Amino acid sequence: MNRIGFILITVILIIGCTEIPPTLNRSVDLSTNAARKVLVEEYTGVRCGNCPAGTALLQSLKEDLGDKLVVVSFHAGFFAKPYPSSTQDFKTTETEALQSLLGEPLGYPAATINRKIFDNDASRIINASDWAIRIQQELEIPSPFMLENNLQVNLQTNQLNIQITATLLQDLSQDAFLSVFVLEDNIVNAQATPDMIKDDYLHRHILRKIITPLNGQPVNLNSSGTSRSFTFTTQLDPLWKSEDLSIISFIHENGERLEVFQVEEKLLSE
Amino acid sequence: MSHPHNIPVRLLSSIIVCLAFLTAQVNAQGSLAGNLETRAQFFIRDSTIGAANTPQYDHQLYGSESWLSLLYNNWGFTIGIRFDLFHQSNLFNPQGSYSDQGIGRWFIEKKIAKLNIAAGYIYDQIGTGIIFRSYEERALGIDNALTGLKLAYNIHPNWTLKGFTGKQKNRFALYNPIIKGFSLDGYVSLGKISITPGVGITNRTLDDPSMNSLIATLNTYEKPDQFIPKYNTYAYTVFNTLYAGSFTWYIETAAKSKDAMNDPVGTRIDGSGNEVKGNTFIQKRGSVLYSSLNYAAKGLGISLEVKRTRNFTFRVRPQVSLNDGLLNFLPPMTRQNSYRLTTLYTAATQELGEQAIQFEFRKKISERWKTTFHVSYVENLEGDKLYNEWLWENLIAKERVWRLVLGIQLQNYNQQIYELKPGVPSIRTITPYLEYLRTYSQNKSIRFETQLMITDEDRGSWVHALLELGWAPRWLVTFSNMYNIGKNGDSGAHYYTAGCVYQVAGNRFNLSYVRQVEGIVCAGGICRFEPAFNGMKLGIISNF
Repeated sequence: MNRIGFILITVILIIGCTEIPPTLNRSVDLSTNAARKVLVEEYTGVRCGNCPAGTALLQSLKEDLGDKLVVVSFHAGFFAKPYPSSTQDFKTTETEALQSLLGEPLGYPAATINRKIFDNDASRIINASDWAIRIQQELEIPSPFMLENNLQVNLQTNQLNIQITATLLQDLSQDAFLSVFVLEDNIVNAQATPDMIKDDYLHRHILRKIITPLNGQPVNLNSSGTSRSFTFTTQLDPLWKSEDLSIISFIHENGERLEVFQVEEKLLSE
Repeated sequence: MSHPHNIPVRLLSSIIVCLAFLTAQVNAQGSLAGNLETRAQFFIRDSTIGAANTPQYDHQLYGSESWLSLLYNNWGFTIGIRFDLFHQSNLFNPQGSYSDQGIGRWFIEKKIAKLNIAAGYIYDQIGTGIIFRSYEERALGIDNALTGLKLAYNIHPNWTLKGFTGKQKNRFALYNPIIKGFSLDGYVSLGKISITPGVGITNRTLDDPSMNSLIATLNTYEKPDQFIPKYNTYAYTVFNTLYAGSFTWYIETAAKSKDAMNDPVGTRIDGSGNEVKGNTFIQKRGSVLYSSLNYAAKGLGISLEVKRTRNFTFRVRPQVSLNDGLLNFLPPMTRQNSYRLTTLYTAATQELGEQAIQFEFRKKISERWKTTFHVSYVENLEGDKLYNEWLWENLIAKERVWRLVLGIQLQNYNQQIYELKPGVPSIRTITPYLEYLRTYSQNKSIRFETQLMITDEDRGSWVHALLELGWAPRWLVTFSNMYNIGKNGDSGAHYYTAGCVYQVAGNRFNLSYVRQVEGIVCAGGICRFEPAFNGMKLGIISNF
């Protein structure tokens, strides 16, 4: 009888040893769906020791994908409570409201990818270890929209005028909504890492302000080839560094489905 | 993930239930049994203790979970089915809300001569579960049943060969990777000594979506940190229990072939050459050595356990974390305490590496006095102390009249590693505790317990007291309060509980008002914040 077990185990081992390994290939083919861009909204917090590793993963993806990947990092929830050494609080009523809209993650780090609930997933909130594949999958889907952001800032009054033009590239049956966020990049502030609280941590893509209503504003476009322009005026906080500010606009669904159709980012300094 | 919630399965489930009921009526020899467990929570927002900002506190106000199990036996068949219901439940995600309902389990089991066949949702394990364990732990939201086929064959009266194949349950769906395994369990009597040896192997084959996701993440790593992942991972174990007089000695050693795992404190290099520390995939071989030695004689009990774990995270796919997708179970190496404050800081098993020892000595000093001494020590493979507990407990009792428990617990808990809180000191606690039970007549009793946890770290010191009045066998009424007396911000916070239990004819009803302190639980690089609870809890357990 021991012989039977031994033979069975040996057979399994032999079969197991013969697998053909997968191949790694970092280069990404960005030629298809040239216009398609993907929005990542990263849940983070200064007290989340593992969040810097998640941010590093997104930075690495951004190196490969360039402007096809738009990242928003929003600080909300328990892990976003500032440390005594924090020079500013990234958590705002708007970031908390965004968390309520997108859902409470099981744990940090986490993110939504185009706010989409992928096939067989129970939630739109995705664990960091699945971000790369989900972004890749979304890049393969053509977008029905094209977006253009035009910005005009008055540095004396810190007033920013934004004009966004949305063009529909194919007929669309769903109602679409436009959201506009202000982001600030490269902010030095305290952050937990697995070993220490790093007071000079460089925070990336921080959500500073939501200009539109949280659920977006109606785009009212359904026919292919039609376009509409939207203008917004907003006051920038003088503490924000204008050279690191960017405006992102994205078009999405509303209600149960929040799926993002297209996103566009533009630096104020561009 | 494929969904078993399709029409054929629903049809099959319906047939099983109908068949069970039908045959129960026509064949009196069959037996039908079952039980219901239901829990409902009514949320009352209280932002002063952090009981806020979840869907239940904000607008849903209610959440519940229920399980109704039926078990039918006839003609050598055992048929089971379980209806699971989660409505606005925070069981799987303490900050989220999950709603779904359906058939959570079904199975058919039949013994044909020496062959035992089981199909459906199967709970089983090999050895202590180090290489495979499918089980249900409702309190933690764990239900990792293997959905598939299990065959067990008695190749000898004392030897059983078992084989299984299937997919792991993921709530009402299934994870795609295929899990299969074999084990051989035996019994040998050698005169005054007997042994129960066993061997086992488990294999998991990654599905293409999991592999593609892993590849996509590895593609973001710089060359020195990349590896070629394996589709197939094998875990092997050899185990034995030796019974010799008053001694019982168990030993199990397990190994795992190269497997992609998430290292929560792993390091990698980013594109600029800087070191990034945190969730990083690694691929390494793993091993576990576990042994326990028990001595049990009249009035004396001694147990000694040791465990060494290296790279033994074994999940259905490397992307899952916390309590999801567990393929195995690593025995915990700390004491399972029961009092509120002696369980406030618990040492979570470190799957990627720990070495631990625990020792317990139990002695009956006299007819009325039993004493227990316990020590446990856990460190990581680098030698950093993770957890240390000393406990001395005395039970003094006059049978059927009164019972007194007096004890003291000392803990050293590495909060930085267990909760990924950088820079915080290890929490050192001293917790004296007392429990007194007085029985006044055959059915009336009063029980009082109190603990005082003294610590300067984390949220500081706590005191907890509980009073329980019993009118056996029907009523139990409980009042308790946990109160912070520390200096670290929570001072003055009360966490009251008041509840009653009513039991009658196989039914148990429990209604309580609960205020519960918030906490953080980390596992596998993901930290989960468990908000404070404030509200009413209703529980019903019914066996029939």
